[in-house]
Amino acid sequence: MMGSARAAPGAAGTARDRVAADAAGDDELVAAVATGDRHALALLYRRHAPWLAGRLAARTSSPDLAEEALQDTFLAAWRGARAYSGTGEVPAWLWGIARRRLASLARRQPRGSLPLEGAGERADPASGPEEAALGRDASARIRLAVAHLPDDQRAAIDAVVYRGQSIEEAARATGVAEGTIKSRLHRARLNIRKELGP
Amino acid sequence: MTEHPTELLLQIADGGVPPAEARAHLASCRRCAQALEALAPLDLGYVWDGVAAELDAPRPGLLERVLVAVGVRPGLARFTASTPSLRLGWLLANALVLVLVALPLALRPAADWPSAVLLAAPVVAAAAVAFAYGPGVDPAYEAVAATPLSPLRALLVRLAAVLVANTLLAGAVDLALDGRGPTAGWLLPMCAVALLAVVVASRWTPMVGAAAGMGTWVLVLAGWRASQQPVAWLTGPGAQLAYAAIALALLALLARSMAREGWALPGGTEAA
Repeated sequence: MMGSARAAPGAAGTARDRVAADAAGDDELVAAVATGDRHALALLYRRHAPWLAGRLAARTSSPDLAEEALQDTFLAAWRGARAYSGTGEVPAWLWGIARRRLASLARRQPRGSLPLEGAGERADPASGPEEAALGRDASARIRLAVAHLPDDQRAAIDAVVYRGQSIEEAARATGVAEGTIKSRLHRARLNIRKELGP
Repeated sequence: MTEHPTELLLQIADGGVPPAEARAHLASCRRCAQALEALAPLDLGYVWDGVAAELDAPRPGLLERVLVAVGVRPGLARFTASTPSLRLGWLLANALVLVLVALPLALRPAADWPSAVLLAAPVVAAAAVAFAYGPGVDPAYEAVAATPLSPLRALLVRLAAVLVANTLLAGAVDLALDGRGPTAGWLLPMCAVALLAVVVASRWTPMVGAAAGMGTWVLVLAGWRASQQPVAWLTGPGAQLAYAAIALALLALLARSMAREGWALPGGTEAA
């Protein structure tokens, strides 16, 4: 789970930075990464790591493996940005790398540990990176799923997502440990996914 | 007040790609970024730290990459590649000394002189191995001394690496500048003198070790000139046997003395 005290990746800038605008398009960011712009990589990470993390974590039972795959993905993007054709969608490109990295890392695991999970896997985003674009319908379904959560999980989602509290603030307000809030968020996510179906 | 895309955050945390129109908000909104970090099933800050650390890690040099490519363990490869006397400056200086000795003999060959490499290689190797490893020589000595790599093994690894490098250098100079064709007569004396330098350096200082090795070889050469013996006295089978015996004896002495001293080189933390 996220250590709240860590520096935001976007804060890491170097003298070579050229892309400053957060609103830069994905293709522009990748082009800047290809020229060695660290800040552009940080922006790319801030923009795409959250959903890649969700997707990788859903594909494996091992968070360590997913984290390694996520790290490898952005290292590969850094080294391979020049090779990016600019024709495809950047999310599809990143997910293609991430999926291959996860598969190759999983192959190196000892037999029997079964780090890859087929269940819970949704449509391959490489074929439609815009699949998550929220329609009004999806929004309503998620609100319904949140409403169906057990009280403690709904309270955690309400504090962090709807009221914008940090994990620390949510923990203080409810008088529980930060780890408890994190695990409630985790279970809430799994329950929402279950309710929304594949 | 800006509308926060709350349900979208949940969907992103579950693997959904944010639509382009939400990007500007997500990129600038601290509150949403914080919620995404809290919801993420992975530690995004930790992963970014890993990415940044990899980008900042120094790229291994050519020698280290070659060693890793031929199957040497990465740690040992870095340890070998960081040998002070394998730096380009050292190797160039060694080559220069060999060439400066070999050039006059190549220009004016003298049948009663041994190959220039036999004269110079032991001297060059003595300095190189004496400064290959030890406190005061290697900035990483204390760090290496705290690892499971035993000082004897560390010393032998460095010794072998330096000897290989100097053998290649000496061989190249021998081939290029000595008209009498390649000889390997200098290899064993070079090893024996280098070992002498290491043994002395491991007991005193690298400078004393280098001086002892070089001085001994100069004395041997002076003795040979003074006795007006033929070149075979220096390079013949009997001499080679003697060099080999001396080298083995010095190696045994090195291992014994280091075992007795608690496997540390003088000047290190353990000996202090």
